[in-house]
Amino acid sequence: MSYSDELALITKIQQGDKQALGKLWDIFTPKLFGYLVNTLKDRALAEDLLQSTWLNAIKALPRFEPRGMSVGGWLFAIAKNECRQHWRKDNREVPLDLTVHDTAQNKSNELVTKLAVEKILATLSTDDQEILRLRYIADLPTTDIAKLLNLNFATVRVRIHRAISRARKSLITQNL
Amino acid sequence: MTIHQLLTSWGQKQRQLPLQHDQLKNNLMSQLPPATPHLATASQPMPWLSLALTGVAVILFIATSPTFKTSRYKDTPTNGNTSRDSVLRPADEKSISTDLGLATGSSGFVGMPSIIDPSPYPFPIPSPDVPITDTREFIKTNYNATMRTREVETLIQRVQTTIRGFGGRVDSSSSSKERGYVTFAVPANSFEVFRTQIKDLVPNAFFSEQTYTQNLLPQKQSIEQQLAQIEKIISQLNLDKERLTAAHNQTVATFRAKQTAVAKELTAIRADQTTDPIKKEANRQREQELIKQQNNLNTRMVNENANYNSNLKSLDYQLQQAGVRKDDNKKQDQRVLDNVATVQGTISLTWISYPEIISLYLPDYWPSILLIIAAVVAYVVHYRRSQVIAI
Repeated sequence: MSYSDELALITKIQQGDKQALGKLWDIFTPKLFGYLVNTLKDRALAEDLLQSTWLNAIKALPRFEPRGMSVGGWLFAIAKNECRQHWRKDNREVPLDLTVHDTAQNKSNELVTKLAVEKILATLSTDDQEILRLRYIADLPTTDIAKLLNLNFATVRVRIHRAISRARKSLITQNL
Repeated sequence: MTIHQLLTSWGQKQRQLPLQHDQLKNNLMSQLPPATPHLATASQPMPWLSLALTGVAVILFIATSPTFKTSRYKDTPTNGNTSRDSVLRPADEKSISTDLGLATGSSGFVGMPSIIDPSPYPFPIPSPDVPITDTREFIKTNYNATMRTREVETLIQRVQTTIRGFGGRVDSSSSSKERGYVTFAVPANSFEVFRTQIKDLVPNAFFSEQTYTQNLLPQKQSIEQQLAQIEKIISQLNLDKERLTAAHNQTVATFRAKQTAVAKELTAIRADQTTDPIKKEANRQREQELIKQQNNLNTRMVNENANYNSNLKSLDYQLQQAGVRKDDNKKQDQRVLDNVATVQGTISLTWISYPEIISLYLPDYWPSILLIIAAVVAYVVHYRRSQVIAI
């Protein structure tokens, strides 16, 4: 969806169009939820935060201003904030266990791929993991990632490149 | 499969809907108010820091702009190539005394002031005694240069070498790590080239100079008038001497004629061997008179000679004195010409720090520029921060 289409949806939602909201939900919820699950490693928690993310988004709709960031970036900013607030209250991380946190939706070979990638990501730093999540799960453009992480565009590009390089090295090491 | 493809696949697979997707969606849609008024954007906090920096920059800019600067004399601008002529200062100003005693008060030369004249527009003071018909120029040049450098002692050596290289003379010099000073004299005919060489020793921004020129015509005229007076006196004295000698000779000739006459008459009387007692008596009386006259004439001759010698001696003395004054006058005249042929000056050197170097190259309003840049940076930071979505 193009930026102007997203803004059009927002405008409709601001005017009370529930269908537009539903459409927006359909577009962004998979990315949001996938991001939250991968970040929090807890589906139940991810659902809670997903809901609070959307509720906060609705509350913030009257103040929404397209300041050069896409709607997706705006939603992910809200989601990141929710995660930050959660961690501030409860500094407990749930250890990764895909067999528990993943669902039977995933087929076994997909699970193998997931496990492999999760293993690779586990060798990376927190910042690298975050940037790869935003890049590949959230599918956000580099400009939005830069705004979210409060970095400049060039730095984000370099970091993505470096994170991928490290992931590649980790993959090679693991394959060996 | 490349790592990028792996990650892309993984990312796509990560995207999922929650189990209670429909319930959550319906719940959310029910929460949506009928019409969400688009509130006016919460007023952005004012970029106070940017505004403050901009305000200060504007104030500084106005304060440093030329129209608001107090009138102050500046050395010649950074091209360092202007000169100010002082025109015909009064002849009774004192000149600068240097270590070689170059004061030329006797010639009436007006030296340059020991400090830079604070007036940017010195008005000329024409001498009232110099008629416009005399258009001769005897230009005396004085030169003053200031150099900034980080190597004072080295540069002062180079300056002295340059002076000597142009056939000049170093009259005095002093140097330390922070300051240096040289007074010098160079021939006027090589001054311009010398000045160019001196200027090339440091960058233009580190150099300033001043040139004072004065036409010594009043002094020259005064000397010439004195000379004319002296020559007039000499010729008068010579005339008086001639007249004295002529008068003396005439007097002496008169006396001699009278003496001769008296002597002749005496001889005649003495030769008269008359026996006539009356005549004899008369002859005797006449002889007495003649002897008296002769004595008188002798005395008068002696006096005349004495007077003549005395007057002659006096006139000779006066002539000698006039001759001495004439020689002095010629020396004065030559001094004036030598003065014109010489450029005297001073070069002072001061050590310059890096911040001073920067401030020389930056325009006067560089603080304003820096503040404007800071204001822009502050605004950009403020704008970026305001991009964080308030929840």
